[in-house]
Amino acid sequence: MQKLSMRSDYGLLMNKFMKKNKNILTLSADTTGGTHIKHAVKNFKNRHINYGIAEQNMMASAAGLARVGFIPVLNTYSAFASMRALEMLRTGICLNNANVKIVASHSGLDVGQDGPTHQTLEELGILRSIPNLKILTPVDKYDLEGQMEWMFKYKGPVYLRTIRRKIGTILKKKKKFSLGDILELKNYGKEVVIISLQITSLYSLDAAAELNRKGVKCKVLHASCLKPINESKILKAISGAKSVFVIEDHNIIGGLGTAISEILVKSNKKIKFNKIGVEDRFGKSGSAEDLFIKFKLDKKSIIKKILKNI
Amino acid sequence: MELIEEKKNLNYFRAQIIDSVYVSGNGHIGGALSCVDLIYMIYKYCIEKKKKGHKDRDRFILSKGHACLAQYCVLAHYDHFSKKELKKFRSSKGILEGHPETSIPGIETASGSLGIGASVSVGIAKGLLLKKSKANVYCIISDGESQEGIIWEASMFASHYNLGNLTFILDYNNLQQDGKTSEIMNIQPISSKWKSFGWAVKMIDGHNLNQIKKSLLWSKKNSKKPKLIIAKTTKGKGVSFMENSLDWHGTSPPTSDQYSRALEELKIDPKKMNY
Repeated sequence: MQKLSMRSDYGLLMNKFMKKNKNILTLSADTTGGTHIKHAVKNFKNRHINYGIAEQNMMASAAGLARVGFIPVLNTYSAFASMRALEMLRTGICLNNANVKIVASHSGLDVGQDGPTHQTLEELGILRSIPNLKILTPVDKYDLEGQMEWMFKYKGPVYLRTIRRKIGTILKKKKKFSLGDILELKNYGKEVVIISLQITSLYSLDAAAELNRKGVKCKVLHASCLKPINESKILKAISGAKSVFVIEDHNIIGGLGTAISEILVKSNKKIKFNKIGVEDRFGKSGSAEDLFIKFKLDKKSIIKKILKNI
Repeated sequence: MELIEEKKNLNYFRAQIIDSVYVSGNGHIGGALSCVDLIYMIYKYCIEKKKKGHKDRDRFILSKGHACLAQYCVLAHYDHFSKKELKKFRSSKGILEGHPETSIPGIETASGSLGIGASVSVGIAKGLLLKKSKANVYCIISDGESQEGIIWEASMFASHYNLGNLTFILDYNNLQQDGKTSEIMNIQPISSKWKSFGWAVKMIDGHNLNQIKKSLLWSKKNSKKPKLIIAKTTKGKGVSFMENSLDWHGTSPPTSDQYSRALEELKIDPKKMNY
């Protein structure tokens, strides 16, 4: 079977949720195609609002739609959701605690050839500091489906980040999501714990398999939910490990690595800790695969960094 | 038609606005005095016509949120909360935030970061139409606020989606924080700008209660076009030394002498401020 991208999975899954819940509306800012919400819009034309290229108005007015009882689902790219319309997200949606869901595609270097204007390497750092906002980062379509089920039951603002690349599935079946979920994707042993997120979880799994062959035993955790992050689950998972590596397609400042470091500092745990991400610089045009090599987020670079810092 | 009761109440609201800033030590008096007539008339003739929670009850959003004391006084008048709260404006002990927030009874959205309230309003109006509600949505924006890009995104959206249930009222006092709006960033020709964006436009004197009342009736006419009421107003209206003066934009309080003079001009006994 042909692999679909997560944004396609998302667009198709929305049909199920929109059929079930008549209050769900889809919103886009000339991004119906790019975000793949088109898969649902074609069946629910009357419940879709296209804003044209006006993300700020889309974001703030979504709070108005929620105010009268709708569940607006915004579909746009990460750059616009987390930066262009940031104040509307913060003040219009989160301060109002409005029941709005923001689904952002095209995050990080994974954007690829569109280049640094669209590669939001700051996204998670910006969003983590906004109260009331829950941030979901599914690893595949099974994780995604469980998260969507949860998201439509939960009353309040949610930011769901999809993956652009076609990666197939990692989990074996649909998983019931609970807030703060950390998934153990692989456990070769507990010498090294790798905590990663979305696309980098795929690279982490490959790196862990190879490290296992070299005699280094890794456990791979995927942060399905960046905020709130489950502190006790993280601390339990890393208990007894020699070192922790966080791997993310994001600036090393502000994202998952920062979130984990905050937990470690608070816990006073003596453990080696490394962040593998983009070293506080902008991205560049290129295929996502090439960029992961260039920015040292690919399998080989991960292995090298782990072997050096274990 | 003499709207005697309304005029009496409005003098009292003006005194309350000044009193709240006097007590709290800061706040925006000028802009509140500029739009309090509009807000009271909208509540009296639109919002409060139907009971709270009624699906067809009209909605009001003060997008120029810094003028919130004008709305707070009217909300207290209609018992959304006790007027004692006005004495705790901007205080950590009270519920009345420096700018509107939904934790305050009667407030639809956080606003005051200019332009956001207007955008939330178009969302509410669109949502009400989708729900086939007969409610109208009223939103006051300011002239300075019209310099924000999101106002024009919202304006385009409202006419594209035929939001005939939406009325913006432009509180046009030609003063913003740094000076005259016409000099800082001219918004003229404002009427033709909105018309060209597909809105029906009406000009009124924003302190003439009869004109406000008539314009609100006009706003309820069946139409697919969203409507704009351009209300020519005076910043600081009602207190001679505050009128058209940038000193009263915000946030310094009046001195005790200024406080007494203001209440005297408004013909309000200071004892009426003891609550």
